[in-house]
Amino acid sequence: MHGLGLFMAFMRNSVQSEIEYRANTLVNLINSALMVILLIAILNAFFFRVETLGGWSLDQMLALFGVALILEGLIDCWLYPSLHRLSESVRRGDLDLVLVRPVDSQFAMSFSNLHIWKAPNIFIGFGIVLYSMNQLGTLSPINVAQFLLMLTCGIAIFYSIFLATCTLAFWLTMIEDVWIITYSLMEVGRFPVTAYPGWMRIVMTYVVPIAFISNVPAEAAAGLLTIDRQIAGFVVAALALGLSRWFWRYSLARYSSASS
Amino acid sequence: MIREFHRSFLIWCHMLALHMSVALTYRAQAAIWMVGGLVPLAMMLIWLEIANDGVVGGYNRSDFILYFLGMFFVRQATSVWVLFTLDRSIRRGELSLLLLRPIPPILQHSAEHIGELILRIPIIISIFLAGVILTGVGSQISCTSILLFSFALIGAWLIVFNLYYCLGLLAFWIGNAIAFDPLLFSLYTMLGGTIIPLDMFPAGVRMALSYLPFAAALDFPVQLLLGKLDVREIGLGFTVQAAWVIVLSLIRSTLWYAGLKRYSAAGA
Repeated sequence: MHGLGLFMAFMRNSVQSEIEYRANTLVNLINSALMVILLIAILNAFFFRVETLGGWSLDQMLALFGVALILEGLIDCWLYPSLHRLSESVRRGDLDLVLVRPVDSQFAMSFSNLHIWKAPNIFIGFGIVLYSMNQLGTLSPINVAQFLLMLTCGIAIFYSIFLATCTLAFWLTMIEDVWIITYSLMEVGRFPVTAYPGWMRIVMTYVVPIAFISNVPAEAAAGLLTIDRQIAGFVVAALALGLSRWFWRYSLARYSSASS
Repeated sequence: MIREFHRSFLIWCHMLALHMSVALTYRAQAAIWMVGGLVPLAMMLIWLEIANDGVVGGYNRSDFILYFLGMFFVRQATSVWVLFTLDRSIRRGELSLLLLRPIPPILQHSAEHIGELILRIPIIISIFLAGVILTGVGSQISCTSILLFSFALIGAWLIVFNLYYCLGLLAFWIGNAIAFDPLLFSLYTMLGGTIIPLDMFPAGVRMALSYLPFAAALDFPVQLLLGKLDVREIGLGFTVQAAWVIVLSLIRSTLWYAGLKRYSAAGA
């Protein structure tokens, strides 16, 4: 309960500082709407040339793009604002301010800043997924629940990778913006893993589990999820959270502060 | 007049050297950013799977490889961050510092970008050549196409630079000009041909898209590299590029002088 209270406090704080930029919400809404129209047009043009993409139909691809849009929205409004300053905090010793608080440092850092005016992408992403489920005829409470469950796992994995790349800041103080790599992962994950050549599929499933971040939730939405994929999704999510947690604590031991 | 021009040029060269050494200091950073630039190569893999040794939309295996290697090249050579620089310096009043210097801010910004580009271009060329040699698509490239490609690359850089400069100048009027960046970026990726080659679209759509600045800056140089255009299409492509450079430069200078009147040098 303590965690929830803190989370609400972080939210309140972010809302207050963001109110000033409320015009941005409108700009973002226009941005997102245009982007979606463009995306659907492009996807249609694409399927003018090919029938399936790695075995996925147009409507299934739409679900995948919806998931990618949700993830993109989460980067913009949560992961990037909260975590991208980590490297600067480590270099300048500002992390002291987080460490002295009687809260778990990973938690405090992970939710330190939320840009709510970037949220439209998340809602539009959900809208697209629901629309594609309707088109596919898979819109049922069970499928929606399955989708939300696997999306949660996907987000957990994505968060873990994002956190781990930011945690590298403890080791590589000269480099900022390592998170940009995670951004490219999302770009790659916009497409079905099955559309890539064999060796890439193995990398994207077992090494960098992009398959479980974007593909599995979209499969759940399309009603194609198999039980072993689902179990694998849970296992990978738990592993990713555990490993990134361990890496955070291990790296924190290297932190030596700066001036104080 | 000539003396003044000569003096500006000397200052510009000094700023170029300055920014080259700054870039050299942060070289690890630049390497990280370049990893992000490899995404077009992932698209290449997808299209090769789709083509599956056949022909899709008139593109065979080596066309796809050369197309996406070219995309990588153009994207990296025209990467521009002036939107962020302008937005920050206008909002924080740091622009005053640039205004005090003896050459116009646009030249200072261009020195910053070109300086970094000079250091980056050997790496970009190496990656490109490695790709060409490893996949054996080199025979498709001719001296003429390389020459035309180089010219089109200059046009592409001017279009992208001016486009983002215009957007950055909006910071004179609105609080957060960078809010438009995601939109411009997706227009740029989707309508420029980074994900799907424009030739894959229906002919009418393809025609319409090729008049936009996005295609002029991305698709056109790559098409020259592929050597698929006839003389008329090459002429048209360069005309479209020139037109956009002129139009965007005019918009940029109009915005600049109008904005400068409003500029209050906050905080400086």
